[in-house]
Amino acid sequence: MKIAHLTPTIFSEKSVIGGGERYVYNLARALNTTAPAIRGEIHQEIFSIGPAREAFEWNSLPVRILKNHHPEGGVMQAASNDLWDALDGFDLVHIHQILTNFGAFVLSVAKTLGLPVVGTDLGAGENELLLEDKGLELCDGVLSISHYAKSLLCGQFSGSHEVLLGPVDTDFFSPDPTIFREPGSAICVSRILPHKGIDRLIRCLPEGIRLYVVGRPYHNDYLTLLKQLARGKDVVFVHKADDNDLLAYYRKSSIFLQASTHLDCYGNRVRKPELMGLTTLEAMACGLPVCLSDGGSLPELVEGTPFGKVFRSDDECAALIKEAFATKRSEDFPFRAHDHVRSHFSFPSVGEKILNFYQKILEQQEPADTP
Amino acid sequence: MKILVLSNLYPPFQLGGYETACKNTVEGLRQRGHSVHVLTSPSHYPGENDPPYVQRTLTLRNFHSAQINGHHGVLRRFESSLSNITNTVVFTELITKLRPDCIYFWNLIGIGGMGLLDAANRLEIPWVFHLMDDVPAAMRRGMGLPALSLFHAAHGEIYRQGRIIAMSQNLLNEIKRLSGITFTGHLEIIPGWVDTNRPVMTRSYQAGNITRFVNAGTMDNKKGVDLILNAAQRLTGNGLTKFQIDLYGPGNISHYIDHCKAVGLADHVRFHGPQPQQNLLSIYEKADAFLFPTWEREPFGFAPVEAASMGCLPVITATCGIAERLVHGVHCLKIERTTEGLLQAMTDIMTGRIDLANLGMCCQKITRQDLSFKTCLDQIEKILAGAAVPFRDRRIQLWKETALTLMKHNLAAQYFLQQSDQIP
Repeated sequence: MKIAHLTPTIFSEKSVIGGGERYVYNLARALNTTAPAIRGEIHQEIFSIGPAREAFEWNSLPVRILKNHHPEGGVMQAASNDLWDALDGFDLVHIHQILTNFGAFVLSVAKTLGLPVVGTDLGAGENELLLEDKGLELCDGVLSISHYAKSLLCGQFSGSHEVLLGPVDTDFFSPDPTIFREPGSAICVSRILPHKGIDRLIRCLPEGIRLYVVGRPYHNDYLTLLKQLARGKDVVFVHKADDNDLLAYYRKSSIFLQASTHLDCYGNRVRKPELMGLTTLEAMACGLPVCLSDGGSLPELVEGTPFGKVFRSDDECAALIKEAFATKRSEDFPFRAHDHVRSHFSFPSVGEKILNFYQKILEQQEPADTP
Repeated sequence: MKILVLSNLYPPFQLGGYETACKNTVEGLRQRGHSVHVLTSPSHYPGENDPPYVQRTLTLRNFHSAQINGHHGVLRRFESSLSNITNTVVFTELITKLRPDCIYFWNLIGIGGMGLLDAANRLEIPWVFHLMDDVPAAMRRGMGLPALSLFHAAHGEIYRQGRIIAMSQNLLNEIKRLSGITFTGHLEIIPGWVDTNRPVMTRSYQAGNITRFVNAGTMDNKKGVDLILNAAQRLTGNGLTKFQIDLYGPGNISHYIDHCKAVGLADHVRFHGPQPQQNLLSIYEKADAFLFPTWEREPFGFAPVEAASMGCLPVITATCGIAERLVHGVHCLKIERTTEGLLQAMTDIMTGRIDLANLGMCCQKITRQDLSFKTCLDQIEKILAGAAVPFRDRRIQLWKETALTLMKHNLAAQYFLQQSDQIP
């Protein structure tokens, strides 16, 4: 099986460091982890479109950047004539950020070439050609990263539609009992953007609690606002953290907070504040209890588990943080949380499900032409 | 073979030789027993009702004189060259109903040609594209790389799946010069032709010691009318007055009549307007030379071939398309495209330095051989047969084809309109 992953942005300093970008790599790695035992070797390649042609490897995954022939529109509008030849020989195309102009372009090319396509919305774009004009129906399957994400597309897509949360690298993101957890420390891992609701956390932060805000700033005014709110409080901003740094922050913190919101601090309505919340799963994998807003898909991540709670308002947020710090947990809590994530959202668990979904899509295709 | 022909125009609505050639070819193929269906745009020209195999359901976004400006005008240009949703859907539906072995494209300007080629590629129907003008260059002009990329047409890749017939190397050179496109797949050159059953004849020249020059085509500068009039004026200035020039075709005739009066050519030059092809053949039979100082990018030119078939000696621009097929001093006179070049040739003819009877015989002969309709149709038939494959049974979901057409059209239109120079 040869799979081409198409994404407008890649998890890189040159592009965007965000959950959506990490998701693509995780998905490919999950498939590579699972496929050999189930269906034999698979070939995967990650494609994006950038200012210049480039090819490199990331964790043994080949990544190819195609020349952007529409640089005026920004990355989410990128288009490349090179894509036609690049897709030659692939069995299936998985388009990430399907609802962008980039997604519409790639979908057009792939379907013109007669290739089966799976689409995934990772939060960017609401392209009307795909939604109102039914272009999304050209996909052979849609893989949604939460039930919430699926609910947003139900009316626009009538074909095979699967929900798969994760995957998370549970080998990497895991608790380490040898590392001392700072008792009064909380962590929020997120791009610094208004709809992530970090301002809510700072406003609700109780006295005596330290909050690590780990993430790259993508909105300067919002960062300024956060720093103003943080005056007199114990808030540490960490803008440059690689994966090892991030792991260390997860391991030394006591609780994880995520406050994504449908109504940001500027009064803007946000339609898709959080389609999955990958960092929440990473935190749980590291053994942290989580306090989550009811924004988007977040409640799904802890529903029916003892590993997290959900708040609906800032008052509830403040109360929940206090409660989280006051709660006594068993020593094995971190390992049970980790096991939960490993069972449901790990590379092997999710990889197998994705592989089965791809296989189902391929089996749906028309048989070879009869002469 | 079951062949679906696509052409922007189809007689009686026609602009020139391209449309006439299309009709001749369709009728020729049908006479040879092939099933040929024509998909084209409506005709508003006087004529008989169409036969059942001609379907005029395409929308034409060009070739009408009404000027539509602003965004509507810009979008019409897009729909003319790149994509027209309705036309692509009509075409796709017809393919599923007709199940052709092969699609035979003619001029695609005005009907969203790139979208039609793209649909044929997508449905994997073999196709042949007959080029008698720089259509591939014209279709991409001003469209921008993003929009072209949607059709795999940024560098002409869209043509890889089909077979190309071009009427001259000159035309191919022109397309490359204008667009950078070179055709890397099946490519053949088939010239313009004349359809005549008449045997080669012996005829007289310069009756009454008057030399009769003739031209048929659009009356404009690029076709060389200005050069003809300038050369004629120089002839009279040189004391050579025993000539007559008869010009046939549409164009800015009043301007040229005024000019002839002003420079004293009114007694030598007559404008007759457009004439049916059959009338022109009779006219050529009585004329001595066909003046064709056309622009150098001329893909070929049917009129001088038709004139040659009647022994009317072609005087042609040395670098135009038809010059690839005729030998100077044997089948024609080739000239540099200047007043002096044309003047010299006309002088040589008038003063008897050219053996009109001999050259007239030779040019008649070549039109019964290489430039005959039969020879060219044999070649066309062979190319179509080489491309054609029986329509393969498979499930084509029309709603999906329409959805894809719609998305590509709208996305391409967005790209096109985002180009700042397209916004009026």
